[in-house]
Parts: sequence; structure tokens; C-alpha cells
Amino acid sequence: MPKYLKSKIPKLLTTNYCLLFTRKARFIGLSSSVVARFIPPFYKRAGFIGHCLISPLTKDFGVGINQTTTRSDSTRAVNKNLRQHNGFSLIEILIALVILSVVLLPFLSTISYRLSKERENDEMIKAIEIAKSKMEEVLLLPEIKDSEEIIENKFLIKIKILDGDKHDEPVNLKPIEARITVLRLKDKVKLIELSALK
Amino acid sequence: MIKSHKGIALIYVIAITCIVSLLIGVMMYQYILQRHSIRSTIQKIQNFYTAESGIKKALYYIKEEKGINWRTGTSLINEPIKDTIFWQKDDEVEISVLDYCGYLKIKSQAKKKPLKSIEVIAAGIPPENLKYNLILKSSNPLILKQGSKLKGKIRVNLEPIFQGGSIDAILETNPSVQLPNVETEPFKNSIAFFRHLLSSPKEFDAELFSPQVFSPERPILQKNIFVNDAVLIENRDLDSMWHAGDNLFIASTAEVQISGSAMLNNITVMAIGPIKILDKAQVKASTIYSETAIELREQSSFSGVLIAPDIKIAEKAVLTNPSTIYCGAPLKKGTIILDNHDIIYCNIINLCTGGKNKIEINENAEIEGIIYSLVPVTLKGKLNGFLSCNGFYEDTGDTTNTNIISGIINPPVNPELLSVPLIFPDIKEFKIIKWQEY
Repeated sequence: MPKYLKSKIPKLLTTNYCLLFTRKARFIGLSSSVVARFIPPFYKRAGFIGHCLISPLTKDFGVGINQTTTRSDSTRAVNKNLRQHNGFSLIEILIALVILSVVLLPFLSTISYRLSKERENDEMIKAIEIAKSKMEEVLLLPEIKDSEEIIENKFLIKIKILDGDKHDEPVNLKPIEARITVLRLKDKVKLIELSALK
Repeated sequence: MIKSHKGIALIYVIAITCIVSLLIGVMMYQYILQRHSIRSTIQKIQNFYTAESGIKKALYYIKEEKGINWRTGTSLINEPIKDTIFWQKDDEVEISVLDYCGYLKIKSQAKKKPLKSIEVIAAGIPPENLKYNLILKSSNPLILKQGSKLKGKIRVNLEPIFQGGSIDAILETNPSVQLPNVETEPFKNSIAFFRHLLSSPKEFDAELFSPQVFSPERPILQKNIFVNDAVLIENRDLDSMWHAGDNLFIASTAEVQISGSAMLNNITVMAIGPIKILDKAQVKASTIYSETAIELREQSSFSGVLIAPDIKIAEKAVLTNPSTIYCGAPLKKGTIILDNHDIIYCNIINLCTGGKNKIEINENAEIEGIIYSLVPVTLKGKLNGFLSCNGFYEDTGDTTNTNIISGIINPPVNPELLSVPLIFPDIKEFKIIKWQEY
């Protein structure tokens, strides 16, 4: 048998063995030190691990195989990596924080604005309901006069009947007009005003 | 694949920025939508009241200003009134008031967006001068035959003669008794409109030239159809009702028949030939106009207005409130025969005079409503309501006085349900008999 074949055959056979063994060992939950014991020294020396890492076949198990590496190998790699990225993470995080805060600030203010507007919308919906029901009531009643009413300690309802009985009202307005205004009680802001002929 | 982690934080930040911006955008959009929806809701509510106020204003002016012609036109030419309806506000409303077969069709549209329209049909509440169970103005005294009974309030111009009949009523005898005034304009305008349509096929969506049969297998597809031939709308399966259509306008140069278990709502049927509603057919809130005759038979039911020179309700056909049967100007002939077995709720108006024109209420017939007639009425059946006429007629062979009544007149059972066409100028109050919003 030629020399080159003598050296290749056992290597190919044992490569498959190593992969298969590593998979099964991880599957049944063996520790990395136990796994490392069963891998022949030749493959450790010959850079089997490096071969596995770049092989598409074994990339899923890269971590498992990586655990078979000796302590000195991994420490060297980490040190090299740290030297390359010296102080970078801090600056990176600081910049990220600045950008994030720039972005989050309007976001938070939008949320608080949105919440306040949400309350206003709820208030408006309630005001609409009140104005509508009051108008129905006014239209049904045969006789009604100008009046004011506080509802739920939040709303001030003004009922105005334009029948010409006051100096600021038009005379001879026929049929008479009913006007319902709902105001916010605390600051007297007009929320809704409805008009209808009675 | 990224081999180095350099700049990964920037990518994270950009991603977060994008997500946050998206969230802000969504929230703002949601807020804008909500605000828009609230504003739109408020405007919608106000528009409803604006349109409703338009109707109220129109009815108010019609009621109060009798001398003014309040019509904004006819069904052919109409110019609606534009009005800023509220004091110191800019809400504008467009109001149109038209005659609709003796009733009033009032349409009011709020012009601010989103547009809101209300269309109503208004009838009158019977005026006081019509609320007599009998008003009779005749050159001959009334003869109450065996079996006749009159209850309620009665006004006659001559003392009645009792021949076996009885009066259990407040009797007012006054030589100057007059029938309540009527104006035929509301019907005249509508009949002019129907006649115009019957000669204008181009006003319709489709013009057809052969007899048309509409059934569940061949439903009515167009809303406005002009047929130069006969029309049959029929569902032969009498056990299941077929909803044939709503808001239809059908014109025929020949005859029309609606039969079987067919149901139609809010339709207008006009024909030069006779129109028949038979079997279990149900026609609701509709207008039927024929230049020849209308006949309702079997178990058919109808509500709305029937206009023709010759109208017959027979067998178990019923009319429900609010319904009106009209014969009168511009129609020259007017014969109304009620030979039904079930109670019908309707007003009967016959304004044709002379000739063979008549209202005939046969033995089995029972009516609740108002009858106004300028021709003698044959009353053998029962009327629960008010009757104004200038005589009764019963063929006895004795030609000296045929002013004979052998039927029964009672006060209406449900007077609050009565409504009359707006042909009586003394009407003070209106009643909305149909309300439509869109």
C-alpha cells in the first residue's frame, strides 16, 4: 500500500468516528472533559477542531467540539480578541445610549401626550352622550326653560331655549330653538354644542 | 455572515429607532383617527338634528301659513329651499316639500359633511270638523232601515226617518250643514306625475318590449322598469314567502298582476291597464296607480295608496294602516266596491260626481277609517270611523227617496291610529307615517 494512503485511511475513518461520537456524547449529556478523552491526540494536534469549525457538516456541533479544546488554546484566542477591541464596547454603548435617549425621549413624551389626549377623547365621548340624551329630553318635554346642570362633577350642561324671552335672543324665532352646550367643569372649556328646532 | 462584532450596537440602535418611530407613528395615526372619528360623530349628530329641524320647520310653516303655497315644486320640477336653520350658526339645510298621493313628502338634507338626509311622509290628523261619525248633506231625509245603527256624533241637514233602524248618538240637525272642504291638488299633482312617467319610458333604467314574468327563478334586477306589455310578479310556491323587492318603480302599458306568495315593500306600480293583487301577495307602504282598475282578492294584503277609476277589494283581502283609496279629479270615473270579509283599515275618498260613480260597502265588509264621498254611499256593512257624504243609496224600487242606510256606523276603535290625506285644509296637526334616513 502506498505511504500516502496508509496515512489517509485511518484519519478519514477516525474523523467520522469523532463527529459521530461528539454528537452522541452531547445528546446523552456527557461533559466536555469526558468527550475530550475519547478523541485521539492526533486529531487534537492536527487541528481537527479548526477543521470542524469551518466545515458546514459540523458547524451545528461547533460548540460541543470547541469544548474539547484545551484551556490554553481558548485563553489565547480571547486575549487576542480583547486586544483587537480594546475599549471599543464602552464607546459603542455610550453612543448607543445617547442615540437611544434621543429616540426614547420623544417616544415617552408622545406616550404621555397620547394618554392625556386619550383622557380628553373619553371625556368627549362622554360629553357627546350627555349632550345627545339631554337634547332628546329637551325635545320631548312640552315646556322647558333655560337651565344649567352639573353632571358627574365633571361636566356643566347649559340648556338654552331661544324663544325670544331674553334681550339677547332673536324675537319671533319659530319654531323655537333648543341649544345644549356641554362644558368641562374645571376650566369651562366648551366640549360640544348641539342645536335643534323644538 | 458578520465575522466581527464591530458596529453591531449601531445596528441595534437603528433597529430600535425604527421600531420606536413606527410605534410613535402608529400611536399618532391612531390618535388622529380617533380625533377625526369624534369630530365626525359630533357633526353626524348635529347633522341629524339639522335635517330633523328642517322637517319641523317645513311642517311648521305648512301648518301656520295656510295661504302660502309651501310646495317647492312637483315630482317633475323641484327647487328645494336653502336655509341656515339655527340662529347665528352656519348649519345649512335644503328642504323640499312635494305632494305624494295625497300625503306630503318632505325631504331635508343637512349640507355639512357627512351629508345627512331625512325623508318623511306626513299625513294629517283628522280635523275637528271631520270627526263626526256621520255628516250628511242631502236633499232627502235619511231613512234608517231595519238593522241600521248609528253611534257617536251625527250631523244631518234634515231630520232622519226611522224605519226599524236606531240612532244612539248626539244628533245635530242643521239645515246649513256643509261637508268639510277638500282640495284635490295633492292628488292631482301625483296623478300628473304618474301620467308623465307612463308616457316617458326614457325616465326608467330599462325599457322592455314583451310580457314580463318575475318569479323567484327570475327575480327583478332593475329598480326602475318600463314594460311595453303585461307584467306578472308571482311566486307559485304558496308555502314560502318570496321577497320580490324593495323601492321598485314599475310601469306597464298593459296590465300588472302580483300573485302567489310574493312580498313587495315600498314600491310604485303604475299601469294603463288593470292591476291585480291576488293570492297571498303582500304589498306594503306602496303606491298603486292604474288608469283602468285595481283589484285586491283572496288573502292579499296591502298598505299604501290605491288610485284608479275603479277599485274593488274582495274576499279576504286586507288593507292595513295607513292606507287610502282615492277616486277623483283628474280621474273622471270613480267606483269603489268593498266586498271583503275581513276588517280593513283605510280611508276612502271619492270625489267624482254624477253618473254611475259610487262607494259600495257590502254586508260582510267592515272598515275602520274615514270615508269622504261626493257620490251616494251604499252602506250595508259596518264602518268604525267617520263618514261624510251627500247621500246614501239603496236600490229599493222606490225612486222617490233612495237615501237609505241599512249598515252600522260606530266610532273608531283606535282613533289615535287614524290619519288622513292632506286634502282637508282644516288639518291642524300632522302625523309622520313614514320616516327614512340616509
